[in-house]
Amino acid sequence: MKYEAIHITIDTTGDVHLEVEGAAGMDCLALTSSLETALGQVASREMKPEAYEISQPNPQNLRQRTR
Amino acid sequence: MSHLTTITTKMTDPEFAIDAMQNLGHALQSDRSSIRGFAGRTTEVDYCFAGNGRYDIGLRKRGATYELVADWMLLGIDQTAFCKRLTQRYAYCATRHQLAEQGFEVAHEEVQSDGRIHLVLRRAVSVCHSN
Repeated sequence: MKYEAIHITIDTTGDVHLEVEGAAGMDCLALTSSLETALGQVASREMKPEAYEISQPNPQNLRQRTR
Repeated sequence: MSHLTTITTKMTDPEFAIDAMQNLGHALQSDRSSIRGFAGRTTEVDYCFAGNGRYDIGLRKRGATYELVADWMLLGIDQTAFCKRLTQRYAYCATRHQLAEQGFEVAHEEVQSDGRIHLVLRRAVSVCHSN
């Protein structure tokens, strides 16, 4: 079983620092977009090497393409 | 890790703001729309919370965000410190709620010695196998 994890630190002024683990490609941004909207305003963002990997394709789409 | 993000928290959602106030021990007074201050004066607010029994704490919408309203001196509360604690608690409530809706569960939670809250939330995802 594979897991996606989000490590979050909320400092004493309420600023939130988060790191996404286990999501390849730009999927990681989708994981946190709702949270970012609920919390307020993104002050900074740093993309890690994993973000530039290609997301694993959905097997359903593969089957449709090969028919 | 695939990205690191820092967010400046703004209290825009009344549900999380109410949860945060109640987490800090200030019960919502849902039958009141004003807070009591010095010499019996009252001030209109959107949400009124119990303060110290005689005086209240309010949340009032200003633009897109909620601000705290109270006579801090009469309450005997440090306004700046309280505002920080509330914002931290708001961020905690919003984070837990939002990520639970996306299927994340808390794997680890601790309050560090410097007051920061550390959370690890995770969810299982299906793995695609190719033959």
